[in-house]
Amino acid sequence: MSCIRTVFSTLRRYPSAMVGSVLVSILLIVAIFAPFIAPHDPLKLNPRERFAPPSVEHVMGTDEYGRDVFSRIILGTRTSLGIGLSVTLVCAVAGGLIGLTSGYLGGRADELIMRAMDILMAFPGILFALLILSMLGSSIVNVIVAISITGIPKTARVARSSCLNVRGEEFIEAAKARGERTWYILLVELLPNAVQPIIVEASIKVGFVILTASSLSFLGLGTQPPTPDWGLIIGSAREYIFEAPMLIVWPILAIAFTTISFNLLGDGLRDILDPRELGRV
Amino acid sequence: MAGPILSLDDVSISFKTINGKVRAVRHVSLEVRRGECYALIGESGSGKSTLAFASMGYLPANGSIDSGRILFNGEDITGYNHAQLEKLRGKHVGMVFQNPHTAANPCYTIGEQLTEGIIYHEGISRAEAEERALAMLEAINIPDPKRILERYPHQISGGQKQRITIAQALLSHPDLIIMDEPTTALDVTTEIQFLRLLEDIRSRMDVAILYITHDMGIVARLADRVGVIYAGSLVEEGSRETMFRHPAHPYTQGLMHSIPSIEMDRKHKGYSMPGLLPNLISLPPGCAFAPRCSVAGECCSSLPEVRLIPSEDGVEHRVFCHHAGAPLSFATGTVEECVCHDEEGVACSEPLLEVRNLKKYYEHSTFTDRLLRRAPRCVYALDDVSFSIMPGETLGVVGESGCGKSTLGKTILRLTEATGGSIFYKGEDITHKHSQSLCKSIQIVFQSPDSSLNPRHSLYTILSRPLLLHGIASGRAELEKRCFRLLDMVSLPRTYLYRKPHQLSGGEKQRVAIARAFAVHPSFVVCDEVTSALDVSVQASIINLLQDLQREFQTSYLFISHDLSAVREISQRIAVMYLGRLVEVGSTDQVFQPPYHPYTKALLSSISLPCIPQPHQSILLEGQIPSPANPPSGCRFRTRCYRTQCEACASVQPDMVFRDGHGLACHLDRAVLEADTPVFPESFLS
Repeated sequence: MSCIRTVFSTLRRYPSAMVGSVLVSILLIVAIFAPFIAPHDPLKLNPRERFAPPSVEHVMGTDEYGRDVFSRIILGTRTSLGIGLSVTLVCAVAGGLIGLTSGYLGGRADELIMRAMDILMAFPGILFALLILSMLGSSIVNVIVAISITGIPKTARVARSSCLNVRGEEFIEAAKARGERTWYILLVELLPNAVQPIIVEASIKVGFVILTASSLSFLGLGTQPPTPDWGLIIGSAREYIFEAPMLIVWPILAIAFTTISFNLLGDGLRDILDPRELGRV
Repeated sequence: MAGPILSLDDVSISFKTINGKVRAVRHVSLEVRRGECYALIGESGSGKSTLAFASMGYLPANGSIDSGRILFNGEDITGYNHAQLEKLRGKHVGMVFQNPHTAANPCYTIGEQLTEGIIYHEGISRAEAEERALAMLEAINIPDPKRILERYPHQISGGQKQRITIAQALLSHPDLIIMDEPTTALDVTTEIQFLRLLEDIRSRMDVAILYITHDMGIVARLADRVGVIYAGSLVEEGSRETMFRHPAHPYTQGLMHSIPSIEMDRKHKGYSMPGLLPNLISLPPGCAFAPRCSVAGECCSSLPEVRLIPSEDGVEHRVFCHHAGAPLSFATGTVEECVCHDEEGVACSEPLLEVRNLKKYYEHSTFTDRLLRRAPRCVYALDDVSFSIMPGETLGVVGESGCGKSTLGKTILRLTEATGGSIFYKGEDITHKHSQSLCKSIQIVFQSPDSSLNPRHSLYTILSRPLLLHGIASGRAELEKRCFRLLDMVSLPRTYLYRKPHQLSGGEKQRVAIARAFAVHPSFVVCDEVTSALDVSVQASIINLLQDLQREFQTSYLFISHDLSAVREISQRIAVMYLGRLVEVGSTDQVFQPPYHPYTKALLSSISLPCIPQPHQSILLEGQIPSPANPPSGCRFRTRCYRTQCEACASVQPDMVFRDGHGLACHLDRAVLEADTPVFPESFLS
């Protein structure tokens, strides 16, 4: 109980974290209960009602096959959040470990790992993802793999720089003097003190990943129709932009809403987790 | 009659934090008179800096002045707006901060930063301002001032930087300079130069100084009047002579007794004040010092009124205490020498640790260096260092910062690999050996307890880990029991076990660090500046603790410190280092008496003692400490040596020559060195 109260009292002092976490909670609830919230079956075709304007029956109207756009947007939350969160998790764990190890070891090993990361970073992210997807074929799992690979170097850099700040602390030296093994120093001594920037980076990354995933779907290399996906909806709505301009606006609004929510949360977390603030919490 | 330049009238300052209102300063009234040096002393967290900075309108956003008036030249500045404050600070008040390294902006040259203020505030031309800056640097004896003006902050040394900040503060001809611990970040040899400069400035210019410090030695050298502040209130104020000879407040008396000082009898333990600073959020009513005071009675639950005590020199002596002048006892136990015996009761004669010709060079080569096959640049951190430590003995290592003393500690622990030479532990060569049993025998306690304890771990994790790692104990119940015993050992309450380090005070954290080192019963502990980051009132208690543990576990210490008084108190033998080499080794008495190595003498004479007048003459070392990457040829000290030099000084490195176990590395004739006058009078070193 006291833990929850601390969380709330902390959030109250950081408005962007407050707004961010409320919005993200809404998104998560929508994603989890999507089938119950959606008023229609998102896959059900209804040729007689193509391009219906917004009405009580269809809040956001219908698309070129007469499917309910609102239901498709709601179900699309699942795909987007699913991809966004799993890519972020993979990046944070893999990138975090790579960065921490690299920063802690230093010297040649550090040089080698970071140059490899630089090479990965040198490719434009979306291009690299396209390359991977055209090799592996399109599926949700492959989208996750592709975006993760492009995202790991950035997380690794963040983790490395935060590790370098902690590495010089005397408690690390004390652990070495005590005869601790490298993995213990890395995971038990270093990680808890270096994890904040990684968390912040991850929360901002979610929005970015959702954008990338949508772009891939839009280009036809991500999720495949008829899966309800925001990028896909934009892709197919593009052709009817003059007949039904609102069709393209809804998914864009959804993407913008999600990205802003996670960015707000990330900004707020950065303020809260700032080491200078820790003493006050 | 000199009128006050700054006068505080019943000033209270508080900060709003999420835990509540911190009452940092409470009802303080004092005045700084024209041309005088007023020293404000107190422990960290006592509100001395807050008071000084608030009196110039520097308060963080969550701070506010709750009551009282701050008069500068008779004008109340509490209601000043931003522009008025700016003018006040720019023209009438100078500031000198604690850390000279962060006080200057690294993006601008010294000249630009010096002239910026006067160009803005006085509207003079750049050329005119530069001329004035140059004249000021010349006036405070900075060598080669023209070149200094063109340099960037990173290109000059710390001591020089601090002198530049003085120049900056003086440029606008202010009436008052506020100095916040300006010498804390400096070495003693640089500190003494700085203090000399201040004395010189005061004799020539009519400027008042508000000097914030916790160093009584400096107060004894500089101050005209002294104010002691405790938990945000002024507890005593009087002339320097009165405060040192007849302190009346129990806190002042305790503070005076807790300073580790050269004149102290080494056979007696240092006095340490019991208790901690009270929490400034929930202060007890009445006297804030009462919980730590040995004469506190029932009357102390009411706020003490000011009492005027007649003083010999006629300077007002104010005390805020119900029991002012009550006789107190500061008697402490005696220190028993730790003598090690083997199983048959024979005193040990084999050294525990022996270091022979130890070398540590840090090589640095850039990519282009490697490409052009240039020899890597070397920093000679340790060069041919040899000494030995007996079981149960303490060897003090002293020297200026950058002389290699910390590197020595780390190399012995093999945290860095030695470049050459060897380390023997119980007769075994351990220079390149890494084993768990060695980690168990050789431990280290670091300077800063904030950094040496992992802030995310509880004391339980911190203390139980070495026990678990070295297989001394396992299982929750046994570990907990052992941890309790460790806390008892360093006199910390058992209830602390599940706290995190940030919930402890600095001294308590250092106790935890010591407990962690002793958890594995080491036979050798490196103490790297363990008292430097602590308040004077707790330094003595840490040294006492180390001495008690030494007797109990028959541990040997390598006690690294720049504080010669602390080193003298704890060490049986002392080694003096300069630029990576040992220049003198001997028993504590041998090092403190002639023959001296010229450098040792300079170091000893730079100490400021808390007595009036200073009993010794200071030797000012010329120039800066040379870079260890490019040490002078021959004797490394020759570039700063104040004695007449022979030819060999510039060409041959002097060898350490021993007589009666007292080694000196100097080309000068031993007879000449022996004829040297002692730095401190005989009566001082008891």
